[in-house]
Amino acid sequence: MATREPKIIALVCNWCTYTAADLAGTSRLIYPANVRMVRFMCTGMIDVKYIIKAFLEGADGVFVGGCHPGDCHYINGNVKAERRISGLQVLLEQFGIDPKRFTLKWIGASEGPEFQRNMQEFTRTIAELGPQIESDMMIL
Amino acid sequence: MEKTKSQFLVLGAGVGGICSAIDLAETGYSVTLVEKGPRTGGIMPQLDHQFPDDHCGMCRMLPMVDREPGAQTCLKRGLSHPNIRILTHTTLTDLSGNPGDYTAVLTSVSRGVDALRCTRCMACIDVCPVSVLDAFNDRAGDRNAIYQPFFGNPEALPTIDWDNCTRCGECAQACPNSAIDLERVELTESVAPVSGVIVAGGNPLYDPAVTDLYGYGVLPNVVTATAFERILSGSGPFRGQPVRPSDGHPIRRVAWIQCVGSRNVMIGAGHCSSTCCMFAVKEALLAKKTLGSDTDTTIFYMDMRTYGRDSQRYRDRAEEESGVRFIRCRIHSVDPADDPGDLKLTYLDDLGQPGEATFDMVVLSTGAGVQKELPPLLADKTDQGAVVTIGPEAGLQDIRETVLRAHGAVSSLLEKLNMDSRAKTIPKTGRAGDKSVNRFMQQPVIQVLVLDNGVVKAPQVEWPAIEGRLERSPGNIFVNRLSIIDGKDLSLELETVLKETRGNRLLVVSNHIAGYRATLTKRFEEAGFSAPLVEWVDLNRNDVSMGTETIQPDAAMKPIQVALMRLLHKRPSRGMAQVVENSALVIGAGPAGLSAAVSLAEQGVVVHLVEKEISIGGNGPRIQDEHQRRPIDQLIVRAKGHPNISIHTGATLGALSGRPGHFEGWVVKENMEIPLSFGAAIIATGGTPAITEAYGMGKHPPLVSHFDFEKKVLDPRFAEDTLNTVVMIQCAGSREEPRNYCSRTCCVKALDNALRVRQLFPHARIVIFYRDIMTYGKSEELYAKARTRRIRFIPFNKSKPPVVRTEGDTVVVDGFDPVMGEAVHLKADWVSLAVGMVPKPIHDLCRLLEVPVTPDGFVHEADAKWRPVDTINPGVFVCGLAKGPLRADEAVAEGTAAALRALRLLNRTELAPQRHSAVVRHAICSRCYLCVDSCPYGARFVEPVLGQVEVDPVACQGCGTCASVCPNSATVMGENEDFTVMNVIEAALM
Ligand code: FES
Repeated sequence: MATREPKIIALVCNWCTYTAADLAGTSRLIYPANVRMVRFMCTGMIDVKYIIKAFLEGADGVFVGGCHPGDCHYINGNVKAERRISGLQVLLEQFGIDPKRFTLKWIGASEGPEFQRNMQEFTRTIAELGPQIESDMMIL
Repeated sequence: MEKTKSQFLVLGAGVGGICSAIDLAETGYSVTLVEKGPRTGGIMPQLDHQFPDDHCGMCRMLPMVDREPGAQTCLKRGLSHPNIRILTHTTLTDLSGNPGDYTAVLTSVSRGVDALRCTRCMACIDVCPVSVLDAFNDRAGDRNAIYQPFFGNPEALPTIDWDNCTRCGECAQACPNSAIDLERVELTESVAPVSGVIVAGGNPLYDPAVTDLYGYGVLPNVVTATAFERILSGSGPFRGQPVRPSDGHPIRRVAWIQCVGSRNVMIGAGHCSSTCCMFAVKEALLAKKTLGSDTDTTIFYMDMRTYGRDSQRYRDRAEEESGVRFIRCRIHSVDPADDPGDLKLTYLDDLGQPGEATFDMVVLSTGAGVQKELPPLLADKTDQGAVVTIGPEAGLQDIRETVLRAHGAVSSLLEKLNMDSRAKTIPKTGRAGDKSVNRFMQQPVIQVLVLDNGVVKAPQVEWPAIEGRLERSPGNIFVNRLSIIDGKDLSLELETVLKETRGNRLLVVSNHIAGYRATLTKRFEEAGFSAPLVEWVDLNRNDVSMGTETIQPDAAMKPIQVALMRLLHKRPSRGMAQVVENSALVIGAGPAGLSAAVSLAEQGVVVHLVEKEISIGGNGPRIQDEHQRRPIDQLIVRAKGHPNISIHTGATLGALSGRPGHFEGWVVKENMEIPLSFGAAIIATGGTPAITEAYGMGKHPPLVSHFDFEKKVLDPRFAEDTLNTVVMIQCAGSREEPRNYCSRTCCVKALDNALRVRQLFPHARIVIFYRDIMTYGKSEELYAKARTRRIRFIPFNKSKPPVVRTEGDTVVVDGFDPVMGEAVHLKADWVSLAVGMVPKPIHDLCRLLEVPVTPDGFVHEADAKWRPVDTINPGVFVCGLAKGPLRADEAVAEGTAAALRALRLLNRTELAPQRHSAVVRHAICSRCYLCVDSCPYGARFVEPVLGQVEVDPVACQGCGTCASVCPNSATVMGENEDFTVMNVIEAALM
């Protein structure tokens, strides 16, 4: 197994989790550098195909972060996202991707430390799993 | 953007100040927002959670319609709007001239830190030897004399607290960029002409240290409610790992003591502070969430004032589902318990039994403090009409009330200044002919500006390596490097680059950009690069630099690539601009509707006022108290005589089509159908006293409602009869399911009636059975007065209400008085019941207007706190009893607030589609209509002729839910369409 830094991508909502990441930054909380952030207006617009795409592009882990239920800026986008994404775990398994490589978390705008902790934890999980091996992915 | 002409001054940048500044800015005026302290936001940045959804939500105050100019995210971290200039550390020192044409003199104190040179490395804060109690954490933590006032804003500047700074010079020495100047400088500027001033001074909280109540200041584990919220907060002194301040023990048992500094005549505070009850309930739930659900949370209270529409259910849930304990009593004192740090409370519970309990922490629910006097400078101008205050007379207010008052203040200011808002220039973005728009249309060519900042503490970057990679990236890319050395003026170089560039998109990459952003944005704007054409990459961020001094090109390229991708896919907004009609429909001509109609009409809007009854006024004319009725009578007269208002009585709304900005429909009146078209609608359908069978109401003649009893008492014949006993029972049929809300008005009505009876019959027995007396704010004084007039108050629990029965011809009320510890049997001449209010049936109307209704039949507002008179339909607003129980004067105030919100829409001549709005590609749409149901804003509709799905670009807020449910990818999300996102993901993982 090749040893390379795990590639992690975080798809986050603009209003809460992205703000929390900023807060973590200003509080000088260090979180792993291998996290790449892509900002969306709301988790409600995160299509399942984006997550698959991320895996195809070589991500070892995909993190989706949004506002807590009830706090979505667009009323209930996060709840819809959760409903949609819950089916994904099974799908990933079938595609030969360990479902643990994907996680959905609610992190509020004021929860900088929470963001840091989640990032650290997720990075650790992914590091333990090792890199996603391309040939394991059935879709290819 | 075109410059606006009239300008306003808003003093105080708390919730009320920010809200009115945004209102004015969005109505098209320019605003100078002046704040004495170091930051904006008031108390909000200190609180992370609010009732009812236990989150912040302040950002919901930001524009939802035509929102691009005010595009930003978290209001707790600051505000940016092209029409608002923010001055912190600033006070108003003089105001002269006449209404509509004042000259203001503003004095600002320097921050001591140079915004351009500071890299926010915070070395200064680390070395500062001074430590003071941090007001931001309400003394639950320390800070230095140089500190960062805006927690969580990466660009916020450290600031020197001049009062505590010892001028030791450590910070200046530690600063690698000599950004610190230890001399306090005052600068004065004059602003003219100022059309009007809004004073939003806020309300100070009561300081329990003053009276040494409950050991505050002596016992470290006794804190204020604000401090406790900070202790629990992720950004607070314990960084989200809360422990007991005295010894770092875990917090397992917490007690709240209500009414500290309120409802206490002994300390000269006879008022109720209105907000603390819900604050405590929310905080108890928050404590359970943060500290563990088994945490013992107990609230010691006198009356739980859950008088808001949703408050009672919230409290019930806290008690029944989360196990928050509520004990009715007044705590005498707080003493140290045997175990060090623990606190002992002794009390008598509501059954008169003595109780004792030990807690880890005691939280004091501090209410309003001493109201600041308005400086004479402003005080003598308030009656001129152009200086308006946001509700200090009402005392401490919760967010919802503050927001309403802010809307109302702006509305009355504009009304008084007689501004026809249509005549004003509204910020315009993305219009054809604009240089920026033309740029948008072109194939993307990217101009990269590398700003190499020479400040020492900024991370070092190997620019040539990055530039090389950029130039090799696909696409048309040009790179220029500009060096910022020692705060050097860049303008000349920048101008040349911007003039000569072939690029039509800008990417700014820098190792330290904070401080320059605002000026650069303005420059770019002038050169025809509006904000959407520009992307910024600041490499001086923790997640890029990882706290190291040099940034690896690899690490730097990650965010740069993402930004590049985004730029390559930027596109102009599609779809047609929508014309806005300068007219409104107001449904319901009660106090709220009349007030909204008159306020709109005064500002040049044509108003159609539709009323179901044959006369206008709603519940207004039925108000018995002449003093309260007069303003409504006046409104009736004004509405009838106003040239801009056409009144349709005996009429209802028959049908409706169209979208916000342009609706069409007809009103049905005596089988006639009158066609109408209008830009916005205001629901003010009102409510009526509830019909209840509680306590046998309707069966025994002496049982009447408070309203009917009031009429009887005011009838001169009433005094001629004999009267021995009057019994009043509060909350009859309300505050329990299915009508589980407080009607807000009945307690005051009961007290009014009781006092009137007392005047007529000095010896009569008057007994009021109550659950909680809801005399919030000033009306608490009425309650205090009633208690001195031998009116007997008997509390009861909802599980053990008093019993009304008949004994022959007489009605007897049986109950139990816990204070006296005895059962009571009262033969009553009259039994008056607080029946409460219910909304008029509105389901059909709301279906027409596409607005949701609460289970109780009230109109559901867009957000209970931050958008109290909006609905999720951007063209429909709501006020008065249709939305929740309230007093007549509150309804009138809500009416003006709703008028202002409608005006924000109506004062535009047209609404441009937003770049984020969704568009449907009809060619690949299979018409499954999944998207229509999924849209939370009702912005999608099926076009009746072709059956195509259309999107209202104004109602669409760009959340993208539709795009992610579309099986064919036929819905395109403006800038965030699939193609872009896929590319961005690819770039991020490169
Ligand atoms: S806005 Fe954050 S999840 Fe919807």
